[in-house]
Amino acid sequence: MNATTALLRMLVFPGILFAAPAAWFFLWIERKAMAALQQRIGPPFMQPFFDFVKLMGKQVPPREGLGGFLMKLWPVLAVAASAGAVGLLPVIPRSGGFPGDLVLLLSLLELPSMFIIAAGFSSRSLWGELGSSREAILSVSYNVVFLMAIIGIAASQHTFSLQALAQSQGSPLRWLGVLAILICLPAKLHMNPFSVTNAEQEIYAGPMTEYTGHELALWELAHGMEWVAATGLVATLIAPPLANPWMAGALFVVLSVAVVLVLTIVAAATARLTIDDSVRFFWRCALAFAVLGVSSVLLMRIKL
Amino acid sequence: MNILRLLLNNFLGGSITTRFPNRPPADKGFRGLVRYDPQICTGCGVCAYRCSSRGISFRSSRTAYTWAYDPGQCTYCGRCVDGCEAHAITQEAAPPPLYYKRDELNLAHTTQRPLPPPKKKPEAAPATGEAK
Amino acid sequence: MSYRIPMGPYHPALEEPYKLELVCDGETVQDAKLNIGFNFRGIEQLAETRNFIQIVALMERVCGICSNTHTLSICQAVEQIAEITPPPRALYIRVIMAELERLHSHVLWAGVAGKLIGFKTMFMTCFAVREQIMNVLQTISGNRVNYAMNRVGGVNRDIDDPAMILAMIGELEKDMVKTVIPVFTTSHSALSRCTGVGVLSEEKARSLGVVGPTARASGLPQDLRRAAPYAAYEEMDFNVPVEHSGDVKARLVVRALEILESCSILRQALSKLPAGEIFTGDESEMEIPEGRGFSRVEAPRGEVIYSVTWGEDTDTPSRVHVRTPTYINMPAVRWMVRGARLADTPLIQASIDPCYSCTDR
Ligand code: SF4
Ligand code: SF4
Repeated sequence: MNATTALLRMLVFPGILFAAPAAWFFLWIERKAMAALQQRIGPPFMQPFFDFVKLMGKQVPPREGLGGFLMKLWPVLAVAASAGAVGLLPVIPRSGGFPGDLVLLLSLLELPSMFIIAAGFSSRSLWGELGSSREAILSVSYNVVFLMAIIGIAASQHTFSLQALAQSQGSPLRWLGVLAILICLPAKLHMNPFSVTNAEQEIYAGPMTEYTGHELALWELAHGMEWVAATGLVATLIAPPLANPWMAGALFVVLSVAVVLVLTIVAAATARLTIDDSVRFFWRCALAFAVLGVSSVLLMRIKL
Repeated sequence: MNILRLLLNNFLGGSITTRFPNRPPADKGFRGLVRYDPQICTGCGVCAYRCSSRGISFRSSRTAYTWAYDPGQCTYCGRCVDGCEAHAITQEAAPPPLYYKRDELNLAHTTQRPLPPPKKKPEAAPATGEAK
Repeated sequence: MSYRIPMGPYHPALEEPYKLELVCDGETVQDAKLNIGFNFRGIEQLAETRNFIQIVALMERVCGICSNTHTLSICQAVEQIAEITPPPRALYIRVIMAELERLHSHVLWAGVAGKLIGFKTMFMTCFAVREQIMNVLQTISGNRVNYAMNRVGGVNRDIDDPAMILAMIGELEKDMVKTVIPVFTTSHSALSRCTGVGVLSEEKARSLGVVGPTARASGLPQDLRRAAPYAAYEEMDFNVPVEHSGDVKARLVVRALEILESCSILRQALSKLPAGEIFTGDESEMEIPEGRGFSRVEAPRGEVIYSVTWGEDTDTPSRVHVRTPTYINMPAVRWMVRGARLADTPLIQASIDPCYSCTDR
């Protein structure tokens, strides 16, 4: 992959130009599915886009000094990071990639939550600080499981390249890893039961409390892109390798939507856990997966 | 797994909400907008006496009386309708209409009082505009 | 780190304006301070300018949820002054309205509690069920919120078709028993948020004098419908559910059981509905003599007290005093939230089912 194709992938497909509509589409699917599960009509198809446009047109209060600059900076960085993550997804097989892009994808997926934490603290709002500290505590806990799952998958295939992972066959360890990732996704995407960061009944909008206008619009966009990247990662891992690029692309979309639906059902079926319950849950998960992972690795060794 | 069954039923049952201007149908006994018939009204002023929210105001002199109604103040309690012995006011069995301008639905009727040989001469003169 | 966290007066979790100032240590609440009065409308004073017909419609606006309770209490108080006894059919219809109101209030509360623990599906389900109750109320009274059913000396509207209402009640009870109650009591994530949270011990409950479901969840078996029956409650056969653990879950269970009791009372009242007039006395000739009336009604949230004084030769009261259940229950929140997690405080304060529009009047 040379610089031009990399840039094209980043900006056009599956980068920003693709990622933004995809983000809105996924946000819409999530909201519509949630509505269908709650006997509501739900928003019209273009609603997330309308929301974005409407927020873009709103006035933002003047923000001064370094704090103000940082507050403006974080949403831009979050959009950039999540768009980059979307750009790395091997939607079309044999489209490129480089060894170790899985690691880059992971770090790009992690960045938005870092930026959220930073944004909450730089907004200097009480709710922002509370939300940020919750997000920090939560991300420390779920990332253990998340990283363990990814490393387990990578180790089972002896590669850190997404391309290679997408092309290879599944193994028990891989399914275990996918399960672990699925458990982490609600926390990553601030969905029930782990929506403690933006629990509006407790701490208003958490880190986003002070944001309005185009900054908030960018946060929403970044959030939607996180959806695309995170569900896309799962879709990449569970999709069987297909030769036809069109088929592969279609399968990728179908699987991503399926992941969104699963997450929505989980969110609709649960209440919000408190932060300490969530943390306890993730550490228990980490323990369980660690035991399972180590034992399956041992079993594999014995077989060899 | 009750919740999953609930979700499934919800999904299969379809939505029960409607988009904004649509409204669910009202029962036949619904207490909606107050309608006034100046032909029947005897000008007793009881309705204004019974109205707690000053939705009906009644001004009266020796020669004429004015019955005015402001749906923006009305709470649709129906006390005026119950109290009108001549049955000159009724309530629509429909939710109050949407309106976009202040006082758009206000009603006022001035009726001349009958002159000594008792003969009614109703004359409707809308002061602030008719409904709709 | 110690925070002072203002909850309200504008807060996404609170329907009404009031302020709870929490002193927190990290995510643990150490103390709370309550400010009320943001919703003061001067209704008691306004009532002194209204005659006995208008005052009923005015008191209905004290509260949007228990509007019937307030008209019932003011009518009972005025009837006491004027020494009017409503006919039996009117008393039965009053019971029916009161119980329907309790039903919809408790279901609404369950929905709000669901929302507060982030369980939006529960919220939507409860409100869908509540919509059926609202339909029954609308069929009977002609409106969804302010029913305008009570008048001095009886009720305004008759129930023409008890059989149809009975069928609607049956449908409703099925929905309650089949969906709302099991989902709330079997959902693991919902239960983990309610059990052992916001405990109010029996002694504390007694010393604070809490009323209604809050008291019954702390083991105080008090219910005015039983202790000082009004309307036709004397002829109804019902239980007063009491729980002893005093936490949010107990309040939830008490309300769930009360929903079932309400359904049973409704069924009895509708099937025994006596024939006859629905009011006594002609409103156009009625005169309220000088005197003082006092009435107590078990609202969905607890005891509502009205004390009405009527002056000599006037058609307006000289004083109307209202005591609402939230005013009594709210100080208990301070003891409930101490030591609780910040995340639980919205739920804890909501577990007494506060109504500030009543409290501030
Ligand atoms: S509408 Fe009825 S109550 Fe009102 S003034 Fe006319 S006759 Fe009297
Ligand atoms: S319905 Fe009630 S509020 Fe409206 S005008 Fe009649 S008495 Fe007044």
